[in-house]
Amino acid sequence: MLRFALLVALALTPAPLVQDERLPELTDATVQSLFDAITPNADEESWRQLPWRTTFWQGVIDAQEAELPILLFTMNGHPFGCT
Amino acid sequence: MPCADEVWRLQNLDEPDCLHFQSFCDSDGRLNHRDASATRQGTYCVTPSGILLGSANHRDPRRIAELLRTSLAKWNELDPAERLLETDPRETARSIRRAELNYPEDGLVLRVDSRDLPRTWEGAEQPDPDDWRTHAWNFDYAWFRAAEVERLVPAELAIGASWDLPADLVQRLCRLHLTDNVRGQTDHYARDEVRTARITATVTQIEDGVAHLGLEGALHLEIADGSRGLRGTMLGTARLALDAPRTFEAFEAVVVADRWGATRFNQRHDDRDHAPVGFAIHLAGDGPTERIAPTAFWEYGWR
Repeated sequence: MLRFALLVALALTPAPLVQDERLPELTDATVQSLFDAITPNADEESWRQLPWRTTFWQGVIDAQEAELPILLFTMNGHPFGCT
Repeated sequence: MPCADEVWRLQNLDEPDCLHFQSFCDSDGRLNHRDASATRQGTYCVTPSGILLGSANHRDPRRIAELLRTSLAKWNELDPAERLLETDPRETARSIRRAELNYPEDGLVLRVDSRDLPRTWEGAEQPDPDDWRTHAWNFDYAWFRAAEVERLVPAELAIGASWDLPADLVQRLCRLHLTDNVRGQTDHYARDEVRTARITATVTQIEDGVAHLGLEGALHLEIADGSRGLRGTMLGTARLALDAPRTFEAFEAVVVADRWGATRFNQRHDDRDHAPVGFAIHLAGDGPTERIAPTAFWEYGWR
């Protein structure tokens, strides 16, 4: 009976929302350092410094006007979004 | 002329820009050497008229530099008349439909960065420092129309007031943007895979026509068989200018979550166990490269 009661108690205990022991603490004291660690730094964003056109067709328009060849970087998911 | 674009649309739709892309993308053999439906993602050098000068799908900058050199040599050999379109491409632009045309000019655009967090628990298997996936990060944009921004905050505000942000908007943010895309595109979660999605805002200060908000929340996303999911908490702040139309001057939040499982393209096939991931949510700029549509924009249902 005790074993059954323990099983019932275990079954009724809600699972923790998050496996806390594997996660860094998210508090007022840590939130800024976590934010800084997650956002890309200047080196990681340096590829934006090229004068990219963000659609193929804008590249065609501007290349036609400037009489230049086109470099097209195309990915599953927009390279300037989630790819 | 450097440009970047999403390949699935270019490869599959029959809009003018897509047809132009399809006219040359296989000219020197299928880029990724697979069947007709395989992705054509990669780097192309092409004339405005659609003559392919070269292509490669490679991360090595030396390979791309070589592609540029050989393509430029081919360009120089072409008759100038061959290089350009006979019609004005600006005329064609008017008929091209893209998700970016729905950019919410008067609304709110958040950028959601994602990155793996350190695995610090005892016995944690550490990822290979020489594997690019260990250092991967990604981002997506979350859009809110002006009318949705109005719904985020009650009409009357007082210090200490607290409320839950509208469930439909929080669910959309969580299931479409707080996904394990760190190493590459992944599946979003369906509505019935959202177990918890809550963001509670509290007014901490009102000063000079600006309301300061504290944000905290929780999310739990999980597919039916439990093999993939994400559970975490959110903490952040925002500043809302109260002059009409009310606009966010600042928005910074962090989500720390436990993720597990894998999808076809998110490079987790050998990293399915529970591990921490972080998201940083903040205002996006409005420059040309920051007006890209959310990756699962079709799920917004905007018409």
